[in-house]
Parts: sequence; structure tokens; C-alpha cells
Amino acid sequence: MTPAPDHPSHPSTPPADDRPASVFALILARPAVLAEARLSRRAPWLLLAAGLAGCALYGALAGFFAGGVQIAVAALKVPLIVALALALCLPSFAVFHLLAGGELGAGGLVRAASGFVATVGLLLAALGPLAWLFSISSRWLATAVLCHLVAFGVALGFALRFLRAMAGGGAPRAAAVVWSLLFWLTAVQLAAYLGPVLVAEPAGELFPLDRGSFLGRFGEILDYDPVE
Amino acid sequence: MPLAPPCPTAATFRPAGAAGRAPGGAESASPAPGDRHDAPRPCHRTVSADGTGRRIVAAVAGTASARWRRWAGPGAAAGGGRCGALRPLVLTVAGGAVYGAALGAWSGPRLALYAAIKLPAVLLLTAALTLPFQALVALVLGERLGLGRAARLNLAAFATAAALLASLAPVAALLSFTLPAPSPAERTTHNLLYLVQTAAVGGCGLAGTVALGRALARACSSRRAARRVFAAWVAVLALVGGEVAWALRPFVGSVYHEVALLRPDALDGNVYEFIWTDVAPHLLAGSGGRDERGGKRR
Repeated sequence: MTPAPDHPSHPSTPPADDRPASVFALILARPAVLAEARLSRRAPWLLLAAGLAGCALYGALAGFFAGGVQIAVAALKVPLIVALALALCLPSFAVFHLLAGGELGAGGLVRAASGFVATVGLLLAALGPLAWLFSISSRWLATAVLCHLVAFGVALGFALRFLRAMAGGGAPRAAAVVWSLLFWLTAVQLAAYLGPVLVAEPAGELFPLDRGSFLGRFGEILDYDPVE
Repeated sequence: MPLAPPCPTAATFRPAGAAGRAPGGAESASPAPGDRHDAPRPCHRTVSADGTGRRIVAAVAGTASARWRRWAGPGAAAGGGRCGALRPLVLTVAGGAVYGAALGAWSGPRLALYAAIKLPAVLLLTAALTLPFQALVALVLGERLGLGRAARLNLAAFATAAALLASLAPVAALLSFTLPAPSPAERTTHNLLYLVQTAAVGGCGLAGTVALGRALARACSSRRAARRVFAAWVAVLALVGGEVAWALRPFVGSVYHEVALLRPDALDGNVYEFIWTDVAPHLLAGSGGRDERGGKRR
């Protein structure tokens, strides 16, 4: 992994403290430094919590599509989807990285995974106002879902940039790309299973847990009547 | 364990990505401190019996990180001989079993159990059936690898694939548990699942093949010989692996057939006959190779 070049305003020595502002600045501006930064044990949890909070905020704003209780439901389900997808993909994250020649240890892998979620969450939170705008102005569920998929894709793109910087060069970077795709597919399948996120289940259940592929769910989404 | 003297030409056979890393993270040609497998490297041309296990596992793991090498390497390195193959063997069986269970879970716990037994069996049977040919073909091509070394090279490659498979097992299990349960109406789901799982197994197999290629590059006397041995080995592994998997089906399950350990017609026709007589004509004709019930005959 090539260390980030020194910058007059950004000394190459990582900060010894783990104040939220310092950690978030590292994630967003100098992700490569995070691999070797001296952070306390609670830093990964802080990153994870921040990421999931960002996801919850995004979910709440996306819930304005249906409004009412669905705001709270979406605020609950979006971070749940991201957290479960991370839990399911964590083993492959470690194995992909190690087999590709990456040199991150257990601590580095935990930081990378939590930083990945933090980047997704922070980006989603930043895209929240846009999600809110499209949620309140869209009539078709399919349009709203498409907007959220694009937002999720943008957030994942930046999170991938973070992962690639953490992973180092060459094969570990390629492994990070493959893993991100796996994460995306897992999250979308989980959303299909734990959903609906944006609209209320007709039977009123919070988690209907209907078995089906996400491709099938997209077909069903097209059949929804427009919101009046 | 005595090591052969460092070989001046060994670096030329070093696979890409096996270079040591400087403490700062930059790639360097020198080995990383503490990286035992990258420390003065024994010459691949001077093979000692007790150094075989070390060299093979180090060669396979040479594509991977020092951490992976520390985990997968020393146990094999310390023992040589049978111990050299033990850890890759355990990894192959365990990884295959975990992924097999996730694969079969779509059709219920019984097939999950069967597949957990059968997937490692596919890997080990394929290795066992191809081993004599692999050793012989290597000899014919001028490489005296022997049965033991060929077995360890294969096992290490299978272990790489199995580790990847095991890491993907949670995602495979997610698909098995969240997709609609098998029924004649769920043919599309079955085909989708089959496609996804085949792609996953194929991708992991490809990673194992890459590991095998790099290991052979170290074990053989020249790159040219390594390439020829590799081509012959991969061809026979693919040919036999496909048939063994076909004979031990089902793994995902079927929307028509009951769950069974093996199909009654397991050895009644091989996979290549099936492709030739059932798949190819329909592909060429532009339809889907259906049986009398409208389903593919698997």
C-alpha cells in the first residue's frame, strides 16, 4: 500500500485521538491513513454507529414517500439491511482480502469494514435531502425505488473508493471491487426479504418475510398503483 | 529442517504479488520482516523430501498475504510429508461442507446434510481420480513431481477454493432461505439459484486454479514446463470434476424430484452425453431442452 503523500495541511502522522471529527475526516478525506492510524478500540464501533445512524436518517427521509408510520419503519429497516448485509459478507471480505495478498490484520479488517459502513451511512445521510425531495414528489413506487437504488449505488461507489484505499494496491483492490458487488447484491436481496421499506405491507406486518428474489420484487413494484 | 541454499534464479520464478511489503506498505522486492516464507528462499530445483511440504504450501500461498501464509503455511511447513497435506485437506473438507450445506438448504435440511457431505467428496474424488494421470503427465513433460507432491499441490489449490467457498456460504445461505421453496411453479427460481451457485463455485474454482498455476510455476523447472503441466492438469481436473459433480447430484435440489442422496440414474449417462444429446440440440434450435413436463432434465 502506498502511503498517502504528505500535504502541508495534513501531516502524514495519523492522529492519536479518535474524536469523531478526526475519524470522520480520515474516512472521507484520507482513507488510506486509517489503516495505520492509532485509534482506540471503540473507534470501529463509533464508525459503525455513525454509519448506521446515517442509514437510519436516510431511511426516515425515504419513508416520506408513504409518510406516517412508514417513516419510522424505513428508519429501522435501512440500517438493519446494511448491518445484516455486512454481517453476512464479513467472512468473504476477510478471505477475499487475504487471498488477494492484502496485509490488513484483524484490526485493519474491522476498521475497513466499519469504515465502509460509515462511508455508506455518511453519504446516504448527505443524500438524504435529495431522497426526501424525490420521496414527497414521486407518484410511482418504481420511480422512488429507482432513485434510492441510484443513491445507494453512489454511496457504495464512494465506500468502494474508501475500501480500495484501505486495501492497498493491485489484487486486494480488485478483490474489494468484487466484494462491493457481492455486498450490493446481498443488501438488495435482504431489502427484498425484509421489505417493504417504502410502502406499508397490506397486512400491516413489520417483517412479512416473504420468500422471493429481488428481481421478482422489482416486477411487483411495477404493479403498484401511483400514490395520490 | 535443513534448507537448500538460496537460489540465485528463484526470484525470476516468483509470482506477481508475492513480493514482500515494506513496513510502510510500499511494494518492494525484498521480503517483509518476519515473513518466514519469503525469507531466503530455497531453490526450487533442489528438492529435499522434508522441504516439499513447506515449498508447496509457501508457493500456493505465495499469491496471498503473509497473514494467510502464517495461518496456512507453518503447520504444513513444519511437518512436511503427510502433515504438509493435513491442513489443506481439513480446509478443503470443512470449506466444502459449509458451502455444501448452504447450497442444499434451499431444498431443506436433509439435502443440506447430503450436500455438506457430497461437495467435499466431489473435490476429494476429483483429486484422487486425476492424481495418477497428473503425476504421469508431469513426468512425461519432464517434471518429476511424483504422486505426493502432485497431491499436495492439488490439495492446496482445492483448499484455496474451499476457503473462498466457505466465506461465501452466508450469502449462499441467505439465497437458500429467502428464495421461494422448491415447487414445480418455481422453475425460474431454481434456474436462477442454480446459475448463481454455479457461478460462485466456478469463480472459486478459478481462484483455486490460479493458485495451482502459481504453485506449479515454482515447483517446475521452467515457466514453459509449468505452463504445459498446468494446462494438462486443469484440463483433466475440469473434465473429471464435471463428471464427478454430475454423478453426485443433486446439490441445489430439484423442483420435480424428491430429495435424495444420489439420483437413481446417477451413473446412467455422463454429463458430456447429456450436454451433447439434451442441451446442445436445443441451444442450436433456440429452445430450452425441456422434458415432457416442460422442465429441464437434471
